[in-house]
Amino acid sequence: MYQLHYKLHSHWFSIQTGNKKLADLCSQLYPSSRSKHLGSTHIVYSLNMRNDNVAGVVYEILVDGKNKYQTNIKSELFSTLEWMVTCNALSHLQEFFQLHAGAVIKKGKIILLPANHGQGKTTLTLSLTRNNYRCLSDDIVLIEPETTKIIPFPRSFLIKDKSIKKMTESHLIDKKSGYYCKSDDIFYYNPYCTNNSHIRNTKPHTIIELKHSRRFKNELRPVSKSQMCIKLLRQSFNIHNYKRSGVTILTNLVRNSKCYSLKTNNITDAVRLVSQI
Amino acid sequence: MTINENFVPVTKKCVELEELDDGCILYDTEKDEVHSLNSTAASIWICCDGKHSVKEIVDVVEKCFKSESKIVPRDIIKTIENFSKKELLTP
Repeated sequence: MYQLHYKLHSHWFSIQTGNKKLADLCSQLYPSSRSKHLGSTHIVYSLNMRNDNVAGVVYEILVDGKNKYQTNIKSELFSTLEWMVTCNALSHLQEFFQLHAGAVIKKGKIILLPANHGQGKTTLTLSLTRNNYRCLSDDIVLIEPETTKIIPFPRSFLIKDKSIKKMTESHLIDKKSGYYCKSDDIFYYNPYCTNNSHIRNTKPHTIIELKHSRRFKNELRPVSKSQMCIKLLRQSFNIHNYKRSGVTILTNLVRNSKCYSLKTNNITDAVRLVSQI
Repeated sequence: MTINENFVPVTKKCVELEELDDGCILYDTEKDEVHSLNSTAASIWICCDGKHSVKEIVDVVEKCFKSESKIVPRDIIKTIENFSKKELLTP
């Protein structure tokens, strides 16, 4: 049995499987959060592989021994596992204020990129990493409530099938910075630096709300801090736990940041506009 | 609630304010609701202290923002009406 242990801030979890290939792929999920030691594990994920007369090879995810998911598509197994791990990690990490946002850093200045699903957080984050920014997160940002310092949430990007070729050709990803499983056409891209510890003391310098549509004209315009506060509130995963103090966290967050709204129809212009700040 | 020139608005105690450079955030602790105000509306909110009538608030806000933009008294009254509609004022 292969056992992998992870420590994602205060959340410990383990993934176990009898299959070496599955274990190799799992090791890429949160590569910078791997732990050699087993702490007081909160959740154990087990990956099973079995042969079914009708469906062929069936993959299963068990959470603390209970069967939660099964599929015969390996890439779906990993995207579901990643989703389960992220959801459970967030529900454990309530000591942090959680935002639905990307985050990058350049010359010590953090840019937060809050946005709804499908507005281009991951694409812009990846593109900025190809333009001398470092990725802190593509989707989830943790904030220390007392200080509003940004805590990276370093998960790998799972890229599948045709997207691998497309993103490699457009130089958004580099096959050297990840783990490619050729037989299953799965690529785990890890754009994070190996040691994010020195980023822990940084507050956001700029907050940019993203909106993407082919109909938009490219535009970066300042928005008021009070408006940004409401926008961030809508992107919080756990404001219901913080309530009044959540409002204080958000006002503290915007108080010392420049606030913008970015409307774009293409990624090249989005990167150009962000780089101008 | 009728808002006329003589009306003296008072903000609810359960509504807390977080000031920002360009406005403020109001948090209604009873209803668990959040409202954002621009700088003019934030100034009006601060004047709703139970000591000033709407007419006096109009005078104060007009003087404060005279150099920055044209504040129409009607807009100030409308803002106070909005506070009332959102149940942010004491009935």
